[in-house]
Amino acid sequence: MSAFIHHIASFFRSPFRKPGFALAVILTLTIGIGANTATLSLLYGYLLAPLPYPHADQLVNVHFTAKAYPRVSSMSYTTYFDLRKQATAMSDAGMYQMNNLNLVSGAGTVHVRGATISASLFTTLGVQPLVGRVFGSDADDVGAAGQVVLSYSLWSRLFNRNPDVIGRTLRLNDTAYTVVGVMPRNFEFPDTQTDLWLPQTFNAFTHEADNITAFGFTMIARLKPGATASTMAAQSQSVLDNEIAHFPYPSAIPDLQKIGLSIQATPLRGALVGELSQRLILVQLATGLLLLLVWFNLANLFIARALNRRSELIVRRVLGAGTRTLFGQLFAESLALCVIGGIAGLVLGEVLLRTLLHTGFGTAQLAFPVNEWGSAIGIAAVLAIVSALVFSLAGLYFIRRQDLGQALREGGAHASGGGNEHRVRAGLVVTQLVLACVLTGIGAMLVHSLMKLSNVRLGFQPEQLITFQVHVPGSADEKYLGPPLEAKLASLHRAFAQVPGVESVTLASDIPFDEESSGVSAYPYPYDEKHSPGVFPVITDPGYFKTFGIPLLAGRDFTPQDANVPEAYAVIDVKAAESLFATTNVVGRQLSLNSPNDTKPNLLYRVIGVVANTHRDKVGSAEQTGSIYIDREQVLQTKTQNWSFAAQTWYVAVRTSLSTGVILPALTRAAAQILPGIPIYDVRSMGERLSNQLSPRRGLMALVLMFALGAVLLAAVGLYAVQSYSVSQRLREFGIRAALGADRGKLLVLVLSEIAKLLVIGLIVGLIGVVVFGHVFSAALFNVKMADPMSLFLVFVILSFTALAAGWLPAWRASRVPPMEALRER
Amino acid sequence: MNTDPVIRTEDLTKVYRTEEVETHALSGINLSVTRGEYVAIMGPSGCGKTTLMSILGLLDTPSGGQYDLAGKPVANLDAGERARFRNLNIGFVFQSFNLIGDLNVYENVELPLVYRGGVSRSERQSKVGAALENVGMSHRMRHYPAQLSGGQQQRVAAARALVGDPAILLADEPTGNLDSVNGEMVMELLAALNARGATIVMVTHDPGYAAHANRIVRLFDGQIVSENEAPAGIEPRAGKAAAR
Repeated sequence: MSAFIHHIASFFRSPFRKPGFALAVILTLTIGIGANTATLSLLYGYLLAPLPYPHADQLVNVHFTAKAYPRVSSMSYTTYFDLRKQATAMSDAGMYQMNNLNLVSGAGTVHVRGATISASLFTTLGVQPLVGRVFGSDADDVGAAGQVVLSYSLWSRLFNRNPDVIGRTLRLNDTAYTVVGVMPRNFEFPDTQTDLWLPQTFNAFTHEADNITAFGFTMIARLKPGATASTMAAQSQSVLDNEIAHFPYPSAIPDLQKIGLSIQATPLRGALVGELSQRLILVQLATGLLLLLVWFNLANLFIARALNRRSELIVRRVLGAGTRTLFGQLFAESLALCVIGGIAGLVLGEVLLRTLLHTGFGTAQLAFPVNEWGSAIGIAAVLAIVSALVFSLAGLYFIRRQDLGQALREGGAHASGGGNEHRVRAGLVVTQLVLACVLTGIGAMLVHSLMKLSNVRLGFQPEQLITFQVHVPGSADEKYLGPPLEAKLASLHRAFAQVPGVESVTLASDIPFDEESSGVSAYPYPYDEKHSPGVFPVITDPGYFKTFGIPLLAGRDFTPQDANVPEAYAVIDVKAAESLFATTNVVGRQLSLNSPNDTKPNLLYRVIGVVANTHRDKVGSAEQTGSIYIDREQVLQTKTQNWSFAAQTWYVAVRTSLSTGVILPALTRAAAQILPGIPIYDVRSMGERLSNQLSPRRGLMALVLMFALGAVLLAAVGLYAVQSYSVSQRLREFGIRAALGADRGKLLVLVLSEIAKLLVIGLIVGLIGVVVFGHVFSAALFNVKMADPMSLFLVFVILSFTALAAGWLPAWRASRVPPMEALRER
Repeated sequence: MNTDPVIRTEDLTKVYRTEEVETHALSGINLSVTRGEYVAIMGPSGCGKTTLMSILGLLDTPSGGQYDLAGKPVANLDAGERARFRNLNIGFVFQSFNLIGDLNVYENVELPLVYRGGVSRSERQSKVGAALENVGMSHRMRHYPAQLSGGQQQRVAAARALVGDPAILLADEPTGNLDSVNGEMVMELLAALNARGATIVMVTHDPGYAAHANRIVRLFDGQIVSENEAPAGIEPRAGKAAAR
């Protein structure tokens, strides 16, 4: 106990006698622990921390995948109901779909995000309301009175957390709903943007057996105890196979088979986190490399310090300090610095974490515990303790190796650790060079990748393009769709077009990078079974191509007169033309969005124009789907009764040279004149939408670059420290060499050549490491090879320059040793 | 004087081996030191004096032979046991003092008791105070080594060696880094300690300092070539002992 108290005394005194050393350790450790605390907090929060639902490991997302529609990851009504009846692996299931709604309240009409859900969703998740109740099992029956459950956030914003809100009537999209409950603060499902939950009414249509491909719902199932996601997937697949085999229209079965439907069951966490998990792991890999580098760097420093304190530590051994006692002392001293570094790292980590979340690296929309002090403190504490262990063991290793008798004879101060010590310390430097090389290489590859992504031809002009969404008021009843809806949209279009500063405007069902849009199948007419690709349908107006700056390659755009002709028209892009007709010379050809086996009335579209391809999926996505543009006025007024195109939510794109802040009030006023109280939301320039597309990649790149910069600096400091120490131990040798005739240049070259040896080894292993880690990071790269010559060359230049610069000062010192002084030195 | 041997070696050998050379540093050393004795070990450079001291001080292990310290065979102890035994039974005074610069005089002297464990704070205070009083350094308790003269540092080192009440005090060229005045002062201190019952084994080149001992053991080529009482003809070095 007394020895421990003695160590504690050393803990607060000894390291701080050398403020430079203490500062170097604390700063370096702050970087290492800070970066890792931030990224490990993200990793823990998103991938490891328990979800806020009881037995959350039993919750799975059951969803389709379809070869023909890469974006499909949802569920259909039909299969959902069949699974509820037949899948024995699950005890309960619910489904939901996100919707934009206009909520009329005392504050006027506001846009809210609502989830229309099955009544069983709350019970499946196992959640209880904070106030009131959740939906009863009959809430989603046809004819049930409208009910709504509010989120804590909406309850706070609009109702000041008044419990009397229960029983009040809200008007959502011109329909009355009674508030039955308020959910607790930590229930933010499926994301933090969800304001309320409405019951999805299931009618006869939704139960129809031919609705297998009516995708759009997300299904959550709770597995029975002992059941696994793979059991659920297998049972679901069996149910689906059975549905297809017994499809009411046998002639359509080949079409269904061609879509390539299958069902997967993904643990809920994986489904919510999605591809973010891959990015998190890559970033953690990079921060892990940085931490390793920090440890190697500081281990080197602690070894140097232990060797400088050799005489003291040897005396302690002579006086009876055993290995454990000595380790205790070194550990206590290291821990003092590591705790301070850990606390500073915790603060830095918090700043970094907030920055990461703010810049969209994580998914702020997920209500995951990524920013909790408890986990961050735990992570920083573990890293600090492990760091102290690493450093004290490194120092102890060299002190343990000392021959006590010899060390005492030599007085300790001048005793050298010999070749072994130098080899180990040089090895640590080479390792740092390798790690710096790998991080710099990955950083260079990510930069190169982003440069290539930024240069991808989008097929439209994103500059000076402001976009937003409107939700046209009115109920979703069919009587309000069609011509009444088109009349409102046309009025809005005219109103927007008249706003000063608007060069052109379009209202469309879909714009590039809308992640919620999904595809449909298209067929050439006369039918050719070989060509039936998935395409994105865009319901729009004559202003679309002009507004987006999409070049018309053949034929013509829509005109207002098209609404008056009996035929339906379409404009398609090159990709769709080639997929459907195997040629781009398609003006005048006809296509259908109905399968030849479809029993529904067929509507043929005549192609009147061909436009350039546009990027609709993510930038850099390998498979871009073709687009088919359909005239909104034709669709809604006369040509079809297929109301699946008659959505109430529409994108508006405005080409203008004015800034968003200047023109938005005028656009809002113009909309309000036509449809009083209509909210405008999701306002972003097209540049912002593009930037959001690239921000995960940009965030990853910025982080890795930051770590690479830190790594290069730390490696340079490590190299300088080792070479400087080596030179100070060899002053006598340099004096002898000088006395024997070596001039300054020769001594300079001698030391620099030793650095060059370390550099060459570091570069060879490091560049191999870049290729290996490039493979690991390949998913984050776009059109960049794993052995990217530009990146490898950059690494070579940066590391060579840094290493030689770091080694220059010790070499210069060696070359200026006065021979007589050095020879007297002992 | 108690005639029980504190140190007893029998046919002690130490061989250093490199890839090409085998050096016999010690070749069959038979040595016995009784409690309260003051033995000086002399010999030319390379004769094995320091190797012998390292083995006697449990800083090194012999290649062969028997070594009993305070009645216990210690030749084959492991590193941990050696550290423990060293702490309990041996005090060291080195040529280069080997005080710890970051610790003050009190803390330096206290260190063996800290490592011993089980010694209360008040007991440590009492023992350290007595040891420093013994060497005349109690007035410098809060000073750091860098604030002391060489002679004062060596006296502090002697206090540190004695504080744990060891069975034997080993002094390796204790005057090697001191001028003649301070050297003699240290010698007088060792003699005084011996007079109070301390068992001392000292390595020295200097016959004048060796004359302070009861017995002189001479080594040559790793063997004891003579073992005599201090010759009467050699007078102990005289000097003006003065603390600086």
